[in-house]
Amino acid sequence: VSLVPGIDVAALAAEHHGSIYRAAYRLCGSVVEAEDLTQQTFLTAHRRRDQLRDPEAARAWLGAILRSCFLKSIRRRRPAAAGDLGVDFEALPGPIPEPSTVDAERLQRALHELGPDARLILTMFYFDELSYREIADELELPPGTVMSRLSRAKEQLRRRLRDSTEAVPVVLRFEDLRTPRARV
Amino acid sequence: MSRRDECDPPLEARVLRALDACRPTGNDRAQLPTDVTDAAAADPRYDAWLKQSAQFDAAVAATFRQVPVPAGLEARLALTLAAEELAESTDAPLTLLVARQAGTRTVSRRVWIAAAGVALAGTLSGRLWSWVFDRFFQSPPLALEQVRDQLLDFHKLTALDGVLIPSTEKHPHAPLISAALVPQIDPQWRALGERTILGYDVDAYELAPADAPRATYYKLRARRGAAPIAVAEISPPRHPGTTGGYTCAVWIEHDHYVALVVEGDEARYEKFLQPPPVVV
Repeated sequence: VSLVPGIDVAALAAEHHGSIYRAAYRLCGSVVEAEDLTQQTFLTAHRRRDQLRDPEAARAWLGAILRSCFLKSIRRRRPAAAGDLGVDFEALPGPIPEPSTVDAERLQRALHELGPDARLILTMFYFDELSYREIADELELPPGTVMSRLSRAKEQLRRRLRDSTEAVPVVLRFEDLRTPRARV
Repeated sequence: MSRRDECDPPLEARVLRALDACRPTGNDRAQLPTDVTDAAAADPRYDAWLKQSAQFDAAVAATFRQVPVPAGLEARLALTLAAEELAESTDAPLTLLVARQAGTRTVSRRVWIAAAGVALAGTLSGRLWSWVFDRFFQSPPLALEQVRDQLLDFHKLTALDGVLIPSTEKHPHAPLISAALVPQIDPQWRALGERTILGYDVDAYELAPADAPRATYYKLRARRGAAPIAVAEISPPRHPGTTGGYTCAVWIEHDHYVALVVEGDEARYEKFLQPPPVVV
């Protein structure tokens, strides 16, 4: 019997590695970085295993560790200012794309274009299903600030998904590859 | 554009964005400012917009999870965590290991005991070998006369050997010049390579200026297996022996044999030493 209080992180890894990896991938956009971030998350969890009091909250706890690791990895970059997202906050939100147009690859491309801060807040909202107040608590930001950032990030995501849907699909033919002046 | 659109006031961006930040379920909307919730309740277009937004959000949330997990990730994580556990258990002091699992503690103690055993065995075998070597293989101490005779033979053979190096270049075993000698000039030293006398490494210094009798100072450093330094009083270099045109005295300083060889008879030797000793 282990005399050290804490939880079995290996068991948590077996149960939650998929979910944590998926969130990590949405944050990083790279398979290698996502796996590194997942490993870092479980290693950190192992070192802080005494902090988890409620086993039922393990997934949320791991999610918070993941986001903390992600934030540390990007902390040298300056967070995007409100205006950097290119959204006019006084204007009405643009049209909402059809839900059927959201495919995984296009979503990842759109997320990658948004920058790490927006990716983080959208991952918390869409993946971890946190409310803006919970996001505010974790990021230690005023709720109003989180509302603004979240709304901007969602609007930016919609816009990029809308734009990519409206773009003419690219079809690369074999003949194009053989032609010196092939245009894609 | 319908007649209703023409008559209704425009939607407020501020209200739409506040509503957009709320989750469709939960009590997010209940915590919004009253003017926002009142405006939303007063105009059904907000609800229509939000319904459309919620559908889109649900589609995005579902797509968010569509990420294939790399094969073997679970196994790699298990390995990483096991390695971390092992590193923790081996790095921790024994007092902390008591709190760890019994299996881990046993392995760690074995490592500690094995390491201590190896260290003890190494120390004992070293001491044993030293005792055996001293007892059975080492020669008796050399007599000073024996050293002197060997050194003079060496001096005759190697007096012009070796590269003369100015004192500005530091000797590898400096400082070795005896304080009892008279360095009237900067002593130059000669690189003699691997040459030995009676199992001792030899350092040679040229002391005399060009117009004076040649005087060479030798220092003998013991190698492993050389005869031990004779336990004798430190001799002043005043009672030399002369042979073959050279006068030589050998004495002991600390744990070295040292010697002074002066070209000529004993009178020239004494003349060389006449100036008062100067500490280098």
